[in-house]
Amino acid sequence: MAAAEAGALALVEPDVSRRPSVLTAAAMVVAAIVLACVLAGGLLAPVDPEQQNLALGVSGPVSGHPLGTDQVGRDVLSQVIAGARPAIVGPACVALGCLVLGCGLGMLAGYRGGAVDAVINRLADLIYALPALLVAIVVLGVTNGGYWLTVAIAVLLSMPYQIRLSRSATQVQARLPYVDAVRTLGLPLPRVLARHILPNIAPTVVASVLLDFVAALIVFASLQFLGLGVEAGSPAWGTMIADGQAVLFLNPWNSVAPGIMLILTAVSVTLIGDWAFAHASRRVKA
Amino acid sequence: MSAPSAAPRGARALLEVEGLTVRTAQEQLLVHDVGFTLDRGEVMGLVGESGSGKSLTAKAIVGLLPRELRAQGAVALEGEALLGARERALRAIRGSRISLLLQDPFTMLNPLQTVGVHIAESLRGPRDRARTEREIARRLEEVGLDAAVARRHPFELSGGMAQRAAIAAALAGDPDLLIVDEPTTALDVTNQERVLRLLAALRRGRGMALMLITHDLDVAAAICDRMVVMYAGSVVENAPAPALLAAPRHPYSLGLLLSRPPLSAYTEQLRFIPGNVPKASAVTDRCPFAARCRWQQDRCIAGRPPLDPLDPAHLVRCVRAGEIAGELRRELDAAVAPAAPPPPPEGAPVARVQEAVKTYRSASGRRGGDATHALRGVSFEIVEGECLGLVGESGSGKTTIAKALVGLTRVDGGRVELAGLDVSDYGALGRAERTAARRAVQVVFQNPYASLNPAMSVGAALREALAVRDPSAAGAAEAERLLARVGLPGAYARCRPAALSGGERQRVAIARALAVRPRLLICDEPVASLDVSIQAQILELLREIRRSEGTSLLFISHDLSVVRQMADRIVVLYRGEVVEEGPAGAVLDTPRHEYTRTLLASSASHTGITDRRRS
Repeated sequence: MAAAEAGALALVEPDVSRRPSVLTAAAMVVAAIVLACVLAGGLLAPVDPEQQNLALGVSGPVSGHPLGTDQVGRDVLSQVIAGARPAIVGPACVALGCLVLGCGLGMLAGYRGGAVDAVINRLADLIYALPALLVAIVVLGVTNGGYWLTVAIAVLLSMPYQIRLSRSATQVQARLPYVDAVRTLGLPLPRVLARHILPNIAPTVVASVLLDFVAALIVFASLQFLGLGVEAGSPAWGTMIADGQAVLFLNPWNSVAPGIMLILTAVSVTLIGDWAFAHASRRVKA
Repeated sequence: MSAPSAAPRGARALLEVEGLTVRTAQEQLLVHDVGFTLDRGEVMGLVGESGSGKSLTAKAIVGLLPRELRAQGAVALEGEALLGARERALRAIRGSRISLLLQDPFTMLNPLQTVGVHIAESLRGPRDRARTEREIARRLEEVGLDAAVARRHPFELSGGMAQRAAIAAALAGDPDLLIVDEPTTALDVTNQERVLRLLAALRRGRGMALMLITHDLDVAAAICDRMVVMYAGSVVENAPAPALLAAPRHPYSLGLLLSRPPLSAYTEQLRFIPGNVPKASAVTDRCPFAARCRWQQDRCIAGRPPLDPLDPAHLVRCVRAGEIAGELRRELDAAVAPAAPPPPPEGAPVARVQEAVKTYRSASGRRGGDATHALRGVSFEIVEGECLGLVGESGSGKTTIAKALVGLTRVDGGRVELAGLDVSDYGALGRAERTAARRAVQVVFQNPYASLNPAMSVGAALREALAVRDPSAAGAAEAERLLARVGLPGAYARCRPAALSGGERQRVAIARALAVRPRLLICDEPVASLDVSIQAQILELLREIRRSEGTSLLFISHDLSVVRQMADRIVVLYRGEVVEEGPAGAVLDTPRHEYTRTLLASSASHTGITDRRRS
């Protein structure tokens, strides 16, 4: 008797603590700091990140400049803080775009099946087949396109992952009788997807959207390193790493500090994704 | 079929279990102080509902408990301690001395290995190829399978064949004791009976002891010498099977016996045990059944009653066993009284299926693929206020008809009418017509664990369904009224389905269906996933709804005794065709078609304690 076994199994399932672990808590603190930098921008910076000090020039950590200065004497710490915004906002928009478009199309494909599924899937396959970073470099290089074009390209290129994931998660749910039950009520399709399917595939979707963000974070930093998708001279993390190469032996912090921030942000968001998955899964356990 | 308890009461039993207690790592009690002995060649039934701890008891015996669980107490096989033995020692015992057969043959067999490999794995003795092959053929023959089956993979077998193959594999090591966990639950009625007969024959032929774990007293009654009834982690009664069936001494055993509706006659009031099974950890200091017991007194909850012997072979855990024996007896006798079924309603048809044809094509292979004919021209009508029983085994097309009626699938040919509308193709209907069709029919699905959205509170689900009929009457008060209608407290509106028991979930599913006030309610095996003591509660609720609301029911079931209690008329489906149709009494008492007779014969041999008493 299936019911009987489900009861017994529920009892022996390990009791996952509701509170995040120390590691997750640390990740959340890091994410909160980065978020504060994004929102407040230059306001948090001790010095104006644009302010040059040609007399000082490049320097290692000195008093007033805990991470030293770059070639033209700008404060590295302030630049790192101000650089959070161009480093984070784009990837966040990419993740959001993947969520709306990728998850939406994926759910539609998984739920409707048939021709709709075939069209959406072939579209995803087509995008899959493109070498993502190369396409981005060529398009941005040719069009001399700006930040938001980068966001649009990144959404398009990373969408297929989300489409496939949402599609298969939806297929699992769509076979369950509760979906049949709602269908017999005659609810409109958007409502079935939003109110019934989405909450049940939310754990997978949330976790993968956070991973989309991490991937986009790296893509943006890479493009910025190559001088693409960002205005010259603005202190994005990727640009800082590139510019710092020239003075690597005079003030290594110029490259290392933004690099550390990238890594910390990426790892933190990944850890938060793990936690969010476990947390959201608990909500939808049958 | 129940053989007399011929097992010799020797000096030492084959299996001795004493004080077996299973807890989770969080010290939550799951099995509480279970003890029994099993003699060589004896057939014992370990009977209980979900949460009774019967499966955990079996797993503890063979040392296969999940890692999070810990077992205490003593388990000895011919004096050799099993509990706490090293894994290596246990491995030597499993298969060769104790074998375990699980519920679902398809999950138990490795899909990548042939049946022959499964059997060869546990064969003992020298292994040259020709000899092994001869032995495998002999083993397959023993369970009634052709030697050619050895080369097949599990997915190439039917459910019944797979279960036989699994039995052959479990017996390959010639164990002294075979533990069988719900061997028939996943099978159709006709197969159930054959597997039970096979087990009984094998055990006689080999002189092997058999421990049958089941929720179904009738299954146990069919082959067991002795029955141990478990409830909420405790043994409540341990008695020779004939004694337990003739005169159960624990109120729970009686309740279980009475919960199975009779096959041979209609009963006016279905008997059930009110309430739900408690957790073992919640009833450690009292009689676990006290809260649901009619005979409960203060001393029942003052302490845990001991498992007392009424006579050396009959133990019962009830402090009032002596004084209430007469009353239990009268209860059992009273239940046997048959009643005349109510006259079938006459009126306009609510639904009409005419020459419905449906063919499924598998996508495998080239265009065309394998065709499965789910419906080959099925016709019937459901009259206003009537309950039509749709009977047949899996693959007969029962569910396809239900799906066609509610528009979850489309028939390839023929006509499906609902409340005067042609709903053969929901997609072709206009918006207003489709809405009307949707409101005319609702479904209660088999598995209440999957038919409610786990992410949605009960109240939200009900309000959503209410809004379909009338958005202005979809408030919290209306939802609570619906809950009250199906016998649940209004506070349940805030619960998620996960917090509810199976029976409660099924009540919510019924409430959701009623929210639309459908003219036809389709019940697709509504009690098949529920515990025996809960089943009758739900059946009685459906009967009551039908009486008071005048809703027509299409009651789909493989269980003939349940259909007898519910249906005015019965349609018997066999491989997508209607083979018999008529008033319930006539079809079940004087079946005309060969298939109906087979179905009845296999049901009759292990259903209806009350039937047996009557005859």
